[in-house]
Order: sequence, then C-alpha cells, then structure tokens
Amino acid sequence: MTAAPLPGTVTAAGSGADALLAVTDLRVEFSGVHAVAGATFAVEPGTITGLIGPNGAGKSTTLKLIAGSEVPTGGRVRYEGQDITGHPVHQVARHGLIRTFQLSSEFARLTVLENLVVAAPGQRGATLTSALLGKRYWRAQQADLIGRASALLAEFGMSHAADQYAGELSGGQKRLLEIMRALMAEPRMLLLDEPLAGVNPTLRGAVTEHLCRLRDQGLTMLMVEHELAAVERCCDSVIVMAAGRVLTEGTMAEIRANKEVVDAYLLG
Amino acid sequence: MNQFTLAIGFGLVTSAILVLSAVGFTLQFGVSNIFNLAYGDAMTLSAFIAYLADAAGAGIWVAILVGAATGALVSVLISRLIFTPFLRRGTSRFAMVMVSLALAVILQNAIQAIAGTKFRSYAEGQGKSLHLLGMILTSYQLVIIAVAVASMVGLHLLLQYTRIGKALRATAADPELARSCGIATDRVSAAAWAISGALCGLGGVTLALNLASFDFHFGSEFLLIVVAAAVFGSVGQPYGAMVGAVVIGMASELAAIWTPSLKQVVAFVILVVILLIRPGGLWRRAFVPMDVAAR
Amino acid sequence: MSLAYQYYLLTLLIFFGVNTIACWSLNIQYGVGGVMNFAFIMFQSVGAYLAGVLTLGPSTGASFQQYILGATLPFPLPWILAALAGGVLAWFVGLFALRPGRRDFQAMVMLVVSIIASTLVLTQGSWFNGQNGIAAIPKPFESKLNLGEVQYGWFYAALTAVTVLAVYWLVHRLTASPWGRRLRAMRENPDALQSLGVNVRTESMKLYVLGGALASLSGAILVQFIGAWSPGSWATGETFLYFVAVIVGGVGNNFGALLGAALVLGVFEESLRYLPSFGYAGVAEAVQFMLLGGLILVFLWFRPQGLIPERRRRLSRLQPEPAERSQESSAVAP
Repeated sequence: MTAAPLPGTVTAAGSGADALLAVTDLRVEFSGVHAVAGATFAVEPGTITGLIGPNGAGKSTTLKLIAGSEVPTGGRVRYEGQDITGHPVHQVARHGLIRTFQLSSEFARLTVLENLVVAAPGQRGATLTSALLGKRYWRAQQADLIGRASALLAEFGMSHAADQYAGELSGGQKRLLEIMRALMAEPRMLLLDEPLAGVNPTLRGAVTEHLCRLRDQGLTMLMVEHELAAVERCCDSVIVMAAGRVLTEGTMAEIRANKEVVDAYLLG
Repeated sequence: MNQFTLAIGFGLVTSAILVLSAVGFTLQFGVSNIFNLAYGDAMTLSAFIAYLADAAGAGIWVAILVGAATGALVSVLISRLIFTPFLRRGTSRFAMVMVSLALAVILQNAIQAIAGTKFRSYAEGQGKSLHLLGMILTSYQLVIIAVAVASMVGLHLLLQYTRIGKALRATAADPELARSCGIATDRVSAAAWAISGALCGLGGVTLALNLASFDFHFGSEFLLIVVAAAVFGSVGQPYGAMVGAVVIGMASELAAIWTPSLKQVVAFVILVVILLIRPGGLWRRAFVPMDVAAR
Repeated sequence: MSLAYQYYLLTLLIFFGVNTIACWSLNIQYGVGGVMNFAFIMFQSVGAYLAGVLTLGPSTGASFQQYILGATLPFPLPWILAALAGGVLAWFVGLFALRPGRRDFQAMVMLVVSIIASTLVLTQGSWFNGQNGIAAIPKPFESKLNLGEVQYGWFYAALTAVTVLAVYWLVHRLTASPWGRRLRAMRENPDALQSLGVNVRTESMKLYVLGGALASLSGAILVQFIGAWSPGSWATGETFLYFVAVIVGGVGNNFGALLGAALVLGVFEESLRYLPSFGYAGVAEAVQFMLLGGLILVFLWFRPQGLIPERRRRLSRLQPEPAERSQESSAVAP
C-alpha cells in the first residue's frame, strides 16, 4: 500500500547503490498520530545534508527512526547497503551511525573528559572480563584516549572544563559536548539533532567550520537544524520536511525559490 | 455446583477487589509517571480506619465510604507533601521509586507501631451466604462485587464525559504528549490522586472484608498482585487494568482448585510472561519513557 | 578484656565485615551502575540458605528440619557455591526484570520477585524448612580446630576479614576500570550510552549477576557464623536497610559504602539494644524503621550523594606526555 508521491515530492537523486543512507517510505504513528508519513530521501557519502522544516514536521522523529530509538511502522532504512530498519540502537551505533540528542543528554556526574573517553569504542578494560586484567592492561590506551579527547576539547575551546562535571556546564557547552562525544565514538555518519540550539552565535561559526572540515575529511552528516544561516553555510544539500513527509530537496538557493516550501515554512 | 463454579464465584470477588486496587494504582502512575510503592500500605491504612469505623458501630456501608475517603486523603497528601516537592527539587524519576519505598516503609511501620501485630476481623463475620448459579457468595462478597461494579461504571462515566476524565484518558494514552501539552495541571493532578486514592481505599477495605483476618502488612503483600494486573493491562491505562484484574483474579482462583497456595504464584507467572513477551502490556507497543516532566 | 566482651566485639566485627561486603555489592549495582536491586535480601538469603544446607548434610526423614540440596561440603565450597547460585539466580531474574527499559519499573519487578520468593520459601516447607528456617549449621573447621568459642570466633573473624579484602580488591579493580566508568555512564543516562554502541541490557545483566553473587556470598559468611536463617530475615525491610546504608554512607564510593555499613547497620542497629524497651515487642523495631525511612528522605532531599560522595576523576592529570600524544585531533574513521 504505497501512496502515490505527492506533487513536489522528490525521491532524491542518487538513491541508488552509491548513497550512504537511503530512507524509503518511512512511517511511524503514535496513538493515531502519523508523526512520519512516508519519508523518502538519501544522503550521499562525504556530504552534509540539512533536514529542515516547521515544528512537528517529523524531523527529529525521522532521525530516531533511522538510529533505532523508535521502531517504524513501515518503510525501510538502508545504511551502507545494509537494511537496518528497526535494528536496536546499539547495533546501529556500532555500524558507525551515531545520533546526537535534541535535548542534551550528557552523563551529568561524569567529568567532561570522562564523557568523551567513555564514548570511544573498543576500549580496553571496558568490559567486565577485561577490567579484571587490571590497570596495566588498559592504562596506556586510556592515556591515548584522554589525549585525543583533550585535543578535541581544545578545538572546541572547552579545555578549561576538562575536569568539570558535565551536569554543571552551561546549555551551550552541553550542546558542544554532545557533538564532541559523538565524534569520539568514531562515526562514519552523524545524525545531528539541532546541534547548534543554545550555542552562542560567536561559537556557531566555529562549530560549523569544524563540521565542514570533518566533512572534507570524509565524515557524512545528516543535520536537523532551525538555524538556517548555519544550514546555508555548510550543507551541501537540504531536505525539507513538512507534516511527516519530504516536500523537496535541493540546495538552499533552490529551496528558497520553491514556492511550496515558502508556503509550508516561512523562510527568513 | 462443583469446584469449578465455586472458583468462578471466588474469582469474581478477587477480580472485584483487584479491579478497584489495580485501576487506582494505574491511574496514579498515569498522572505522575511514578510507581507508588506505598500504595499497598495506603490500602492497609484505609482498611484499618474503615475497620475502626465499623467497630464503632457505623455499619459496613459507612465503613466502605470511610475507607475510600481515607485512601483519597492519604494519596493526595502523599503526592502533595512528598512526591511533588521532591520532583520540584529535581529528584530524578529513578530516585523517586526510592522515595516511594521509604514512604512505604514509614507507613507500614507506623501502622504496625500504632495498631500492633494483632490480626483483626470484622465482627459480624461474613454475613449470610447466598447460593447463586453454582457459586457460594457471602453477603460481604456481594457487597464487594457491587462496589467494584458501581465504581467502574462511575469511573467510566467520569473518564468519558467529564473534562478531568478526558485529561486522564489523554495522559493514559500518550503520557509524553499529554504532559508536554501541560494537561496534567495542578487541578487535574489533585483530582487524579483523589480518585485513584479513593479506589485504593476501596481496594483495601474490600480486601480486608474478604479475608478472615488481616494485619498490618496485608496491603503491601497484595501489592504484588496489583502490580501484575496493572502491568498486564499497560501501566497507566485504566481500562487495561480492569482487564488485567479480571484475568488475574480469575486465573488465580481457578489455579487454586489444584493448589491453594498457588494464587500469588499465578499472578507472578503472568507478570513474568507479560514482561518477557510484551513489556508494555496489552495496550502499548513500547514502554512509557521515564524522564518525562510531570507533576 | 572479659571473654563475653571479646565475643561481643568479634561478633560486631564479623557482622561489619558481612555488611561491608553486602554494601559493596549493592553499591556497585546501585551506586555505580544505577541498577536498583530491590530484591537484594533475596540474594543474601539464598546464599545463606544454600551455604547452610550444603554444610548441614542431606536431610534425613527423621531430622527435625526438612530441606533440599543437603550435603556436607568442606569449606570453602559452600561459600563458592552460594556465590555461584546467587549469580545464576540473578541471571534468571534479570531475564525478565531487566527487560523493561525503565529502571524504576525494573526495581519494582525485583521487589515483587523478592516478596514472592520469600512467600514461596515460607509456604513450601519442603524447600528450606518453611517458617522455622534452618538451624544448627556447623561452622567451618570447627571440629578440626577444637578451639574455645571465643578463639574460634576470632578465627572466623580473620576468615571474614580475608574475604572482605578479596572482595575489595575485586570491587575496586572493577570500579576503577573503564568498565566502571561505563557503568557510571549507564547510571547517568542509559539511553545516551546505548546510542554510543553499548548494549545497556547486557551490561546491566553482568552487573546484576556480579552483585547477586556477592550478596549471596555475604549471606553464606553470615549464616555459617550465626548458624541459622529463617524467612524472618527475609523481609523487604532488610533490603531497605542496605539501601539506607549505601545512600547515607556515600553513593558510588566504596569507602562510603563501608561507612554506611558501619553507621547504619552497626551503630544504628546496635543502639537499639541499649534503648529502654517500651510498648510491646516489635514497637522499637517499627519505630527504628520509621526513623530510617525518614533518614533516607532527609538524605535524598539534602544530600543525595551521601556522606562520602563519589570521587571526581580528574583525567586531565592522566594526559600522555606531549611527545606521545596521538596525531589525530578528530575521530573520523576512514
């Protein structure tokens, strides 16, 4: 039972085998509300794709569906050619597909450095059995991870907060931590849920630049954002969602010129 | 008349008691997103106060009303004086169950300290027995069934036709959405605690009426079965709790035909099975997330 | 020092040792990992029962107590088997109790399991002698050593102390490791940890099994000293007591747990002995529990981290030397 595509719905170019992430007719409903009602799009590797739309369009929910936090009632999600629809969250993450949360979800009573170090996969001593082997086994690698985390902190200008409890950070700092933590998890693709919300304007530029650099190094991103200037600055293509469906896709310029989009979502 | 029909009769009574208790418990969860572990002890307290009223000569119907009122009062006090302040202070949902356990311990031991460890029984015994369709029911048991039926009819009317009822249904159907819409306002919250508390009280009184004798921890012992019924029907969903109550009430009495001591085990087994195959309960696909702001 | 006083002292020490192990077990589950094991006393009791029957010898029809799994196993087998049983039981319970993602729901299910287990043991007299419990449990090496009561007591206290040290070694090594950090992250935000690739349910289960084993061990140590165990020692109040100890002493800190064991289970419990008795038997205990309930509320309100809170780990001090620092500044895998 596939609905005919709405006028203006675009099944993105490159939804073939070369797309890193391909979402097809994704649907989910909660108590009769169709939060996502047939979303179809694809994300090319090595790009930053923006996902914009009015509130309630289902953008965040779509990210959750891809990552496995919510189970779809219909549709498919393909990542790196593999069907990952409805796969458990931790399995999806282990494939390198890492999602950040809309509401900062830091580990409050761990320090900032601990928040970052704990995110690194394949850590020695991070399982019950390997922990029994003692400090000698994991100490060197941990120092390495701390070094990596410290460097990351320095790039985001948060070195001073290294030993602060994450719960004591400001809202904007927590958002940065959210991004940094995702980066420590060695992602091949990031699903960013409003990463810049609450980050002060001066820092936003630095963050988007950093994301662009990561993209140049090969990291793929799908980013939900309301901050359209940032979207314009670093997104290679933009997907517009409204009412649980994909309205259209293209560059920011194309989007701005699209009457349908302007109607659905007043662009500033 | 055989064992089977007798068991059906007992099943009706147990279901009636469970319906009152489980629906109350599930409503409290629905409005607050907290598992109130002190619920069983609130049942005990209500039963004791009702017993005192009856012993003072007020008669069984007044005692039942007194029980309901006590339950309502205790529940409202618990939510106003303990749960809400702790939540406002930023205590996590996770720690709240510790708070409710502490409350349960305080309440149960207070009852024990004051009332003692003696068992109490209702003076008039169980009243006359009635033979009906192969079941034997005492007049008290008929009263219990009547109270349960009346309460559920009343609750249904309330849920369907009043504003507060609609708010309760909304929070039961989709707690996250309802709370983010601000439906659980102070007034709705207080009303929900009062109504669920009244059911808690009725559950306690009817449970005591049905037992040969009761003591200071009979309510908390019953909590296990209440939880099983509520979880079966999806916690927070009152109609689900009604179904769960009947299923578990009937199942436990029917199982008792074979082994009398197995009643609690049946409820427990049903709970385990539900947790293994459908943790959200009958009504829900997935479980209610924990960290949702609420009153 | 009189013999009676010595005996009192060594009894205190043994109880302190047992309670310390129990508190470390609960602390690593709840304080470090966020697993609220409301069935704690069940594990301790199972360990006690098992160690008891494994030393009592097979239950003959004529003996005054009836139980399953009787054997006369030499020390330390009863302790080891008790710990293993605790772990296995935790695994079974965890299968359904850790199923719901909500930890408060998990706690409630565990409480329910504890209640039903105690009810079953109470009513099924053939399992562990029902209401009367098991008694006359022989102490390890008692006949071989042929010491006086007090001297044997000191021997047992030494045995307990050695076990305490071993458990400390284990618990410290685990909490100081990256796994310990992972557990603490799980405590703080299991959903976030899950989305970083960690299977939270598996880790919770491992933790639960470990905690169950340690709790059962504590029961085994205690039962072989006091020589008896009954359903009376298996009340929800006992679980609650251990939680008070951990919360008051210090959540997530092994020394905090030790302090909690000393203060709550030692001082508080013992002080009851010295209060004038009032009312009928049992009132004092009821009032004591009410006070403990109040105490926990006070701590949860004013000082939820406990008296000796979890240490802050200053990882910045563990930086590699600049020469060793890795070249990568970001974490993009090719």
